[in-house]
Amino acid sequence: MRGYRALLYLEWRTLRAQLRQLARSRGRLAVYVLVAAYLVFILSEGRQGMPHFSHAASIYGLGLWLVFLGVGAIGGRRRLLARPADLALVVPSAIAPDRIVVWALVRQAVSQLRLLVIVAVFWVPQMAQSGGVDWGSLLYAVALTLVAAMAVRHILLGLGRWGRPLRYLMLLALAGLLLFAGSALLRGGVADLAAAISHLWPVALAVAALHGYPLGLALLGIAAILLLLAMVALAPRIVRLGVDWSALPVLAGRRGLVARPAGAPSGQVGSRARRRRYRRHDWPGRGDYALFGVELARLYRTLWPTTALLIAAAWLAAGVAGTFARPRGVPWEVVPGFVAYIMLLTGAAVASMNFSQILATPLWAQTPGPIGKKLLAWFLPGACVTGLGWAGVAGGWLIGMGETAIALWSLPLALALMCLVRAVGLLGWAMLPNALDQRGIAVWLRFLVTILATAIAAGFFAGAFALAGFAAGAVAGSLSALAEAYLCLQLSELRIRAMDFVRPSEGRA
Amino acid sequence: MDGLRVEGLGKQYGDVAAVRDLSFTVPCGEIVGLLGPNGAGKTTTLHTLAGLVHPTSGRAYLDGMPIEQQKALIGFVPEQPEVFPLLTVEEHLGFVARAYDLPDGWQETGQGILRRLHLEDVADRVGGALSKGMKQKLLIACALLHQPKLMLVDEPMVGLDPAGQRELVEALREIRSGGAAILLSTHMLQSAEEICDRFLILQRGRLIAQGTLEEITAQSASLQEAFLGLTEGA
Ligand SMILES: Nc1ncnc2c1ncn2[C@@H]1O[C@H](COP(=O)(O)OP(=O)(O)O)[C@@H](O)[C@H]1O
Ligand SMILES: [Mg+2]
Repeated sequence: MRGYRALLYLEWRTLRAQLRQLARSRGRLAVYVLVAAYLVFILSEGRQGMPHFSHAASIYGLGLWLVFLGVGAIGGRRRLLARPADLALVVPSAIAPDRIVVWALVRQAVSQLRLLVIVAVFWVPQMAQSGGVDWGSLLYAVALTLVAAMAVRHILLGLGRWGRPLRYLMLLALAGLLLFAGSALLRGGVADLAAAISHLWPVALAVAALHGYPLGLALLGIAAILLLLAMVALAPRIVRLGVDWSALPVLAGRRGLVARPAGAPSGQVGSRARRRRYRRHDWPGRGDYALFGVELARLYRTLWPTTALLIAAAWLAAGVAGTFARPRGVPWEVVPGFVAYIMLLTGAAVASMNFSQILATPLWAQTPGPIGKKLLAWFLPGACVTGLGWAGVAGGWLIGMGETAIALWSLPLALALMCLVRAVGLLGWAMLPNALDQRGIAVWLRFLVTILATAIAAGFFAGAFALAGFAAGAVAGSLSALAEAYLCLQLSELRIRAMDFVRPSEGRA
Repeated sequence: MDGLRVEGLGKQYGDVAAVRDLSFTVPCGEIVGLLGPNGAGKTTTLHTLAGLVHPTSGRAYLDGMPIEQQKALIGFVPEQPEVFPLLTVEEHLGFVARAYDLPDGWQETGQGILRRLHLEDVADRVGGALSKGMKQKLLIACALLHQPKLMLVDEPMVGLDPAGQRELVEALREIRSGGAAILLSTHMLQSAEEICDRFLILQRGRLIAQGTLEEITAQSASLQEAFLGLTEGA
């Protein structure tokens, strides 16, 4: 028990300190009160007609969450013990490593639950529409899927070398599922997709479980228990293989800018030849725009080559899917829905992004030049890379369909939208830069703001599209997105100019 | 033999051999200095001994038992002073006391340690609000609290003010006289000369010399000259 006692103490004291900080900052407290009020409003509003769950809404909500969970579960070891002090004080301590692993698992499950609450809040109005749901089974099913996903993550860790190909297979399966969903959506619209997905038996089972179907619940439970047992059986290996703790860049002193390339074995900062090749590159960006090169280098090191290959594969797959869907034509009325779905995914990712990491480096604060230009130089490469990812998938699909002109028009649209999403994320950070606000309920607020901001540009797109066709929609959407992004950038600049850059201090307890 | 015994320790990071075939001992009641230029493998050695990194080869024993079974007897002070940002100085000690299951009375020991490291004024301040040197002292306090049999200290002098350095030296001498073994990495030769009983000199992951100050400086005037001669010649 001794290990758990210490770790519980650690969590309890941290939570207490967070609450105290919150109570002391009036502005932040106001934000939290607003969010709480909104929640109360939504829930009491629903009390007459609630709890209800439309079949389609429950599938989309579930799908979104499963995608998050899946990516998190497959995503590897890097965040298992990412807090620097864990490596200084917890791992070398007398606490048995298997207890530390269990603690890390619980901690991750809790943060996943938080994410789920955020997603659920969005679905509460949806749920209020039709069809009853059993909240007890809902909770039970959610807990079971969480346990299963966390167990998968640790099993992959424990399998070590063998885990990696498995991880790629699962990533591919996930991508396939998304493609299937996307093409069904484009072929038959929203209701058909719900019907199609609910015929996939694991999804059907999960949805049935959400609605209180006993066999679904029982099977989910068995799956979770089996996975958990497998994890326990692997625990010694998880400890032995997954625990090159300090190969995490933190204690090794390689903090900050240069991350390990995704998929590289722990502690290896790219192959020697690759590093040399990159060093020869002349970084773009000079003077006020010097951060452009730094950000590009960071992206290069995190993306190359695994992620880049996966993205290219997704482009190709989208093209192939497009040729299969070609005879049926493009059902345009689902485009806004598809855009909204993408916005939800990226919005959520961006809303929880930790901007302070790069913006708090003295390197950035010290260089001369106006903050606005520096911000622009920092945020453009990332926006373009994410934009190219989505545009490539949509473009591949459209070219497969034989709609090359539309594919070309959607490229600037995707880039502009990504600029907007990133700019909104930046503004969110500039408004609430405290580390505390990178987590918890404030994430929900930033998520909401991101969605609302992108909705404006999406509205311009939809309007112009309805009036004058896709090209006009793309131009209107891109321009409004860029204008909004520029506004966000200006506001962030105003905020950031008044900021202390080196602000690790979180005050007195 | 009691103390730390390391046999054939090696650690490979991809194509970089950070530490190669390292064998040495640190007997109880001795302070051994681990010297070497930047990148020699000092931190990697300490990390493997502290259980942060898995060695590619070799074994280590503390008091005759494999070191991974003796974690309760080890105190480790890392090079980067990272502390819990939201826990106060006192709460850090509370965590350590629970992690090592210390019997009642650790509060007094803790107060004493905080006092000697001049941390009592900031005892209720959270980790995130400490200066780098204070964080380092806090980690030293955490490592001392459970009275370890083996202290692993990585570059302790770098962030400390002169008073802090003196306190650390005194604290290390004190636990040495209590029978602990201490392995301390540094590239500050003067302070090393002052407190270490013996030295290990690393160069590109290999042990290139070891011995007392007299043995190492047999042919040169000072530790610094001997060090430069050894590491540049190799
Ligand atoms: N996580 C890691 N990944 C790759 N190489 C590493 C890692 N940690 C250390 N190294 C390499 O191992 C060698 C020894 O490093 P280190 O032990 O930190 O040296 P010292 O502490 O003596 O300055 C260096 O060449 C360093 O680049
Ligand atoms: Mg070092």
